[in-house]
Amino acid sequence: MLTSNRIKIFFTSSIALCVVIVYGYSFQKVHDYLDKLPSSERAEAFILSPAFLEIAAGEFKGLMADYLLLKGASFLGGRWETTDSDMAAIYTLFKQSLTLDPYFLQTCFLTQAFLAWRGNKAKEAIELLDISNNHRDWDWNPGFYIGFDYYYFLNENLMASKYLMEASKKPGATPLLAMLAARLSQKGGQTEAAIAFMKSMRFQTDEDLIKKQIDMRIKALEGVRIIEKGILRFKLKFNQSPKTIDDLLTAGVLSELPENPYKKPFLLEDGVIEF
Amino acid sequence: MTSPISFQKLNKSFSYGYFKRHLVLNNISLNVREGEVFGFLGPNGAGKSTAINVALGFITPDNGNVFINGISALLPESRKYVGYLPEHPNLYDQLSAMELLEFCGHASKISKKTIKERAILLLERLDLISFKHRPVRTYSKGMKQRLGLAMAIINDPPVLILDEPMSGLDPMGRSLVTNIILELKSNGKTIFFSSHILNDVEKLCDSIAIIHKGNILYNGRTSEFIGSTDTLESAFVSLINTTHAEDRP
Amino acid sequence: MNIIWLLSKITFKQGIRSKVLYGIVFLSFILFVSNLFITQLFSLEIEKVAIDVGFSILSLAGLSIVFFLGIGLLSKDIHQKNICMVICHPISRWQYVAGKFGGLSLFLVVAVAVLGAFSALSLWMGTASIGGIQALRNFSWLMLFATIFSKLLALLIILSVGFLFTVVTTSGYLTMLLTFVVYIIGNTLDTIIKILVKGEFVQADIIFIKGLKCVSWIFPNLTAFDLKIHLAYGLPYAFSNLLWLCTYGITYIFLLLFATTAVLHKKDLC
Repeated sequence: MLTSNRIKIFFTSSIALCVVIVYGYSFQKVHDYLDKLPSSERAEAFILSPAFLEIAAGEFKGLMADYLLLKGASFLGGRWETTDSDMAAIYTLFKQSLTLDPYFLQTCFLTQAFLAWRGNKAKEAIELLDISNNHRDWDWNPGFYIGFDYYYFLNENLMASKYLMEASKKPGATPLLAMLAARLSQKGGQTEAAIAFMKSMRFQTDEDLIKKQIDMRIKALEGVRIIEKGILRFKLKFNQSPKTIDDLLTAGVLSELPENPYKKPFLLEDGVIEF
Repeated sequence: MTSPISFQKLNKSFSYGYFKRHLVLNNISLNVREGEVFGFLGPNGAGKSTAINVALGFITPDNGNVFINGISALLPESRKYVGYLPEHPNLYDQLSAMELLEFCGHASKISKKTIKERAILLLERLDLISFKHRPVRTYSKGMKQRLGLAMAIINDPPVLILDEPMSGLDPMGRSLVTNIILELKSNGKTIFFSSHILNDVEKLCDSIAIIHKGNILYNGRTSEFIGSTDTLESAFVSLINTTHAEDRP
Repeated sequence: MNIIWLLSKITFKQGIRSKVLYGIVFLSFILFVSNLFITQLFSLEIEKVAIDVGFSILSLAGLSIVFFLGIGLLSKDIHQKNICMVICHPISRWQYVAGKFGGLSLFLVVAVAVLGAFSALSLWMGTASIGGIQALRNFSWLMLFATIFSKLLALLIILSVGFLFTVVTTSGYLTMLLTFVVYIIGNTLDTIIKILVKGEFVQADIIFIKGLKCVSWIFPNLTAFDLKIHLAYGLPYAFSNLLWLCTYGITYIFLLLFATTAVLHKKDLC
């Protein structure tokens, strides 16, 4: 009687042990498979129409927006290299997020950091930022980002000026914005404005990568300012514009040329200094 | 004088399928006299419960009506005078016996003090006093049946309608309920109950009515019905059998 | 009136004693704690995230109370004939409906108050790093209260839909299914119509849109009761809007309860 009971207990416990072992093994297998999946390497977005998402999310729109945003942001968290398709996916995710919650400032911020800075997709960034700008009518940040993108990435100073002017009228905007807007829209004095612009952007940023890029741009702009002052003195001295930048050196207006952080010489074309 | 319970030309049919109807009560008329114990007998599916459900206003008759103390059973006021014990008391099982009795008492608009006194009295009488604060879901079937009886008589109604009050009770419970019914009768209550346990009926009832396939086969004194046969049971079986024989072509 | 209060009281007691409640409380507690971690994932406007998460939990818990507890209790009454125990007293059917609804709404009021306090607490803790709940743009306690209250109204509407379906159908599962469908429709119909009218993503027939607009008179517009976004971003919300919203919700509930009573009066209970 006693032995048969023992045998029963032995059998039951060995079966239980087997099940636990098989479970552990299969768990490992499943996770191995998931880790090997190539899709985890790249950002992915379901290509759902934003309209469908908006309907499906029901009363949980806000939560869904946060999730989509987080999904896009977490992918780029620790990665330096991104492909075009990654950026396309992130654009989709952010756009879906904005459809569900067009107000969230975090979306603006991430759009600017990821799409504009990292992905070099200024046009897409502006499209998304414009949604925020229209909804956040109390906030100058989206307009400021749009203005910046027009100026920095697209070289459209007039558009930049327009957005900055709008942004400057919103509560809490720094007085600098109005000045920037004014300067960008006129020919002269643009370099000063640009430096001020870059500096205020640097103040807004806390990502090192972006800070580095901004610092480079500021350095280049400061070089441009030195050259512009040289050209001004050259004009006073010789009553004509220099043909090339090297003319400034040979004429003794500048003792040395400023360093271009982009590792190429400054060029003078049709009176505009390029770097 | 109005009869405490009076069925007047009651008709009820239920639909099944899309267009078919099944006649459950066919032109039933009964009058219960005040202070008597009235047994309502019939085989399963004869229409006993349906008749009782009409009397309590749970279902609406197609034709005719039931009057309780002269008030139409369709009006809620008619149930002021009635205590009801269903065949399977479906109680709110998260609540305790005490809470259920309090609810029933308040629903019949009797004072808080009276409810408390009567509830204790009834629970003691029905052997439930030590469980009075336990939720009903922990009760056995017999305990639920006894609690159901307590709930039916908490407001001391002049008329009682009991649907199979003995079903599901052990011999002890049955004798307890029998005694309570006799006690109520001696207090002058009118009791109308359906049953197919004929022993109990024979012991308790002054009058009976026998219903079969929606028709009343007999309505009168119990003693007259038994007549020359030995027991109620044999009289009942032979009556039902003769009706069956007449049914056949 | 006394009878209705009596019924409400025992229904409320039933709700409190129900085991489903433990599960709901446990789940909400876990979710509220998780709110504290979720907000850490964001750096800007975390108060908005805290509101999203907190109120979503409130909705979820409220919905489970309505479906599993509210409709569950009522279905047990109607479909398993517990109602006879009530109706065998001098209680009419409209009193029964009013009492049951009263008890379940009382339960929901208490539940939403507790959950609302929890979600306000998690909001307060989640936003402690940026200066607490007051750091919200245009924050007002009135708006917080209005958001919670409108959520409560939406839940009561779903409950009354459940009441109607309970007396119309013959099983609790069917009731839950149909009520859930109405909940989904109520939350999406408004958005669907807006998208169709805008015609940006989908082109639709004008007759189809007209048809949908007619349908929207029948189904409750639950989107209107979602004030989260107004609270989170301090968007303007006129007091008169709130009053109209309450009127809309309360009259809708009354109409459904009328219909429930009418059906119940015709129904054979046993």
